[in-house]
Amino acid sequence: MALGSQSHAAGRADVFDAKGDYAGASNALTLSASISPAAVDAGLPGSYYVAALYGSNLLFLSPTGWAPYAGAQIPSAVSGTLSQLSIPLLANADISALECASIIAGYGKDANDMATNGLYRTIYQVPARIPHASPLPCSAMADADISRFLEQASFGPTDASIADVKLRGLSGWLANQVALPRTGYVPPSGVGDWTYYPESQPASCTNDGIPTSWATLCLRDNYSLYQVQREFFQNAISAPDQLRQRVAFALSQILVISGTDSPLAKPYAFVPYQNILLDNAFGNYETILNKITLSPAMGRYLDMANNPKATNANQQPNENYARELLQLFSIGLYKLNLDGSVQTDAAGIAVPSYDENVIKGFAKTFTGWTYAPVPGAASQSFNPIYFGADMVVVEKNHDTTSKQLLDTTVLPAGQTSAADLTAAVHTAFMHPNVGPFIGRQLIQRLVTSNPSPAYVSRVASVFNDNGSGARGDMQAVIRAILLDTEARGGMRSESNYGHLREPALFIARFYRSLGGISDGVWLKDRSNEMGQNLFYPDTVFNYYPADYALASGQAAPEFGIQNTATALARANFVYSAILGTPTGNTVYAAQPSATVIGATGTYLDLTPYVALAPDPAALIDRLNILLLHGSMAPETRTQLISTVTGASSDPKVRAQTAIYLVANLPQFMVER
Amino acid sequence: MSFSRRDFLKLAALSSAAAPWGWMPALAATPATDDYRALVCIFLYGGNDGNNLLIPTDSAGYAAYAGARGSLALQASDLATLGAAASQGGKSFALHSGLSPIAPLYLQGKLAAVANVGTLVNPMTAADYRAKTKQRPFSLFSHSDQQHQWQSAESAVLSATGWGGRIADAVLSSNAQVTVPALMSIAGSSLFNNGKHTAPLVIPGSGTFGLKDNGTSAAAKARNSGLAQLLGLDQGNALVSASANVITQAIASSVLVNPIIQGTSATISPAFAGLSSSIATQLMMVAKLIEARATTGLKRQVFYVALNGFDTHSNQLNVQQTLFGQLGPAMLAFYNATVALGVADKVTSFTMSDFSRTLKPNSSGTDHAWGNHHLVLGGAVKGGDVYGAFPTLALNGADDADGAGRWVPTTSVDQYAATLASWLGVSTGDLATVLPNLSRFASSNIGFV
Repeated sequence: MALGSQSHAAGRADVFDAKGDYAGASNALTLSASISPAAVDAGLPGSYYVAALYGSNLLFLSPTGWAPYAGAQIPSAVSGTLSQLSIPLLANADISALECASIIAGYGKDANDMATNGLYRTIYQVPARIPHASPLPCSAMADADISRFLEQASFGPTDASIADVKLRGLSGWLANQVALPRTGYVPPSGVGDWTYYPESQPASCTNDGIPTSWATLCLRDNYSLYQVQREFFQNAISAPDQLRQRVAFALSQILVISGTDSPLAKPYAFVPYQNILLDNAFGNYETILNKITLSPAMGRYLDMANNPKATNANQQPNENYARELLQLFSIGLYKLNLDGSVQTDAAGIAVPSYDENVIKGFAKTFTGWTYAPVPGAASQSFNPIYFGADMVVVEKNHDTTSKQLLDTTVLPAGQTSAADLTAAVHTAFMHPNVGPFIGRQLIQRLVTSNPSPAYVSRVASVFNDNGSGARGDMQAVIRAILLDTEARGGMRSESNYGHLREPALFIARFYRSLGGISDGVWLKDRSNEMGQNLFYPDTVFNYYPADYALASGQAAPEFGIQNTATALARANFVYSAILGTPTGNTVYAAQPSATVIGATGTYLDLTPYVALAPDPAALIDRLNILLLHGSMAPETRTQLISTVTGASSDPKVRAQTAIYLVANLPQFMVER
Repeated sequence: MSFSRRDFLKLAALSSAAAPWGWMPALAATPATDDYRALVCIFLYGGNDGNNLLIPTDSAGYAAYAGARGSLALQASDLATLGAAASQGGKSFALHSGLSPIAPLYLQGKLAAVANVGTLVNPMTAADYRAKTKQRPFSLFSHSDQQHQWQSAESAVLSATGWGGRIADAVLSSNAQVTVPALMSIAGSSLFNNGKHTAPLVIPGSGTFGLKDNGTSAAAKARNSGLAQLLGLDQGNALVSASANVITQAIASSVLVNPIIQGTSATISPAFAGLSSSIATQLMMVAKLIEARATTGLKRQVFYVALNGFDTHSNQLNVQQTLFGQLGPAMLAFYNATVALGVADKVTSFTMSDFSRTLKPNSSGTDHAWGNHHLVLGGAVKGGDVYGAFPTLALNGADDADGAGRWVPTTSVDQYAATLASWLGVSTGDLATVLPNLSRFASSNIGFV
């Protein structure tokens, strides 16, 4: 049997769980194996197995203790009726010397059942000593996949997060991330509260450039998204709830609002909407749809607020929200199969999901809502803009005629605004397109632009039913995306695999993985130069077109903003970050702004890389792990070592040259 | 036989007695190879409401307009008069007041309008549309899809290329030996710009365009040559390869292009004096690149600029006023710059947009529609007329698809594009490649340029 392999057919292997419950570091470790058989196996007779793999040594745990594997029958640790079981393994033991050793746990009807059906997991791996030079620490494949996993599930691996995944396992790490509270957007220094600011800024609300108190930067900080953009990068680089931040960012590119609509370019308008996405990133998709539908920010952006029924024959309800809810937020333009492929009619023409009558029906449904009244003001039929609370009903503005919704669904006449809205959102949510339509886009944001139909199908199936009968469970969907066999594996060599790192990911990944520090001030402007002015996408169609393709026709959405201008902006970002004038070994791309409370500026300490620079191969190998999950091609490595060696004998110049070149590799632009 | 001017200039350049030609100052002032033409696409993102761009001013026409438009009807007294349009039976039209700066160019014969242009698979009438007897463009009224179709001139299937890029492909031979792409965008990436063989040069609207790592130290030189080597390695992944191609093209072109866009042109700047809008800045950049045509060596070019914000579901009157208030002065300035450069008849600019908007308003705006009116400007334009068939402005009328005032186009994007492409120099034979569906429509040249 090949215990190192994780490849197996889908089935029980996808639904059982084995994880390590541990306390303490590897020099004082208490560890037990927690094994949860697949539901179909519960109650059947079977056995549990625990192995340790250290170098080429393989040991198994039996009732008499650990023993080397002799090539005969695999001994079981426990036998009996299968159910959730915890097996104590270590108590306050020092195993830190067993660098890279893995503990593996599994179960089966017998050992053969376990081995052939992949019913085992690595539940713990003793961390490598870090930093580590060449050769690659632990198993290069295992490390590569953990790094890849963290590229997909976070804003980039760090030594600490790699160690965290090793300790918890992929599944355990995901569970831990889901449980972490939201790192939100907060007014700096706790001065001010991002509550109501009127549409016309008060004369007293100006900028004096002196950050002694909240009010002194009133205009910039309350009438633009300056602070929100800045905090996004700060959180992306250093917040602990990486998965939540990453998923919310992906959702913000599907359920788009934009500061280009100037009333939204205020933290008090924009932050509550982002909080919906952060708080519900692992919640239910129908909940998300309901919340964004009633969000005043969305109401303003797509004109559902103050959208009355037609009052005469020469007028019609506003169709904006109706159309984009269907086209972008839920079902898309064409009827889809479970695997995301488009359904076609007998003539080979794609079958539309809806027609103009449906748009008109939804448009009528969404009439009769206005902003909540500004505190202290009386509510009117058409309240002025206010983002401090969800939109409210004005029944007399609601169209009470019957409404044609999707397919055969018709809402009866005479329903209230709220009843119509709930029913319409539910109709969209229940449409069979949602799983493949939203699932595929989340895969594209997190893993690859060109997922196989089978991958989309697996994720859509989980959207449709999380295993417990629930539809739209985002936590289950995210787990299915990140743990899928098409997402996992040390390297991916398919020619269309992966996706271009969009600017925000590229920037955050660079500073996060290299150990940089930033308050985001400088980074938000670089992202803008690279074509992604964060939270100000041009339209509801996001920063780049979802259907953008390379000339070969293969999907590559992020290339919609990758061109000669933005490519140079990327190279020059790396230049400023690495080759600016260092103070000692620290390169400040930007000094702390005098106008930002708690500013750190943006900087990178080159010391760890300078220390490796006398041996250019060691330096390149370290960067290979940090930035390329060990995927650097041999000829690239050879060229880099040659260039770095020839550039200078000064270790600092070598370190700068090495990072500049590796971060500019096209292989670093693409996450795969 | 007769000499072309190009032949004449070749002779002049070869002649050791060139000095006496000084009596031809106009020729002396222009590059020796001034065989040049350029198209400038101005894309109005979001779906510009053509119903308030071009307004009939004959009494019956205006009454029909005002009656259906309700609260969004522009006052007759606020409009920028164009005068009569011969192709519309002599009926008179006007422009939105925000475009008043270019209205005089209509009277001078430099500005034309083209009525009710839009995406089509085949010719179809509103009756055909309602009867569902003919194939409709896919995903009508969807921003992304209608942009895609306007830019690709392909309304039956998704296209991987745009017609701007395909024009650039077709005129490759005119631009032989030139390393800078003929297609230049100041408005980022867009399908319109992507040819089969042409990848666009996208230039930032401001700032420098080039590598900062351009020092002369040994380390900088080592990095530059190292990077050039590295960009060619390990290309097995298509996304990696595409990424490498973009930065390689950028580095190669920037050396030539950056000095052009950084420079200030004494010829161009006066035309743009006082203008600071994005669209004006973009068009000034285009003018500078045209002025530098001898430096780039390009003889046939396509430029792409854009203005965002036309999705006027609400607050339409104010939003469109603001946007046209930027567009009108910018188009005039650009035209004046081409006059100052002596290339007015070599440069044709034209508008495109996602779609028009419903004639029937909602409470303060309009919704997505279809056939739209567009503007074409330049010294070679046969201006002073409204081409195509102006629709009947009536809900449920002869041109209305569904009762909301969504005009079924009477001129296709293919025909609009073919007229422009032919003027630029795309041969009749190449037109079928540039616009593969053109033969489905009666005329391949609308005649406006």
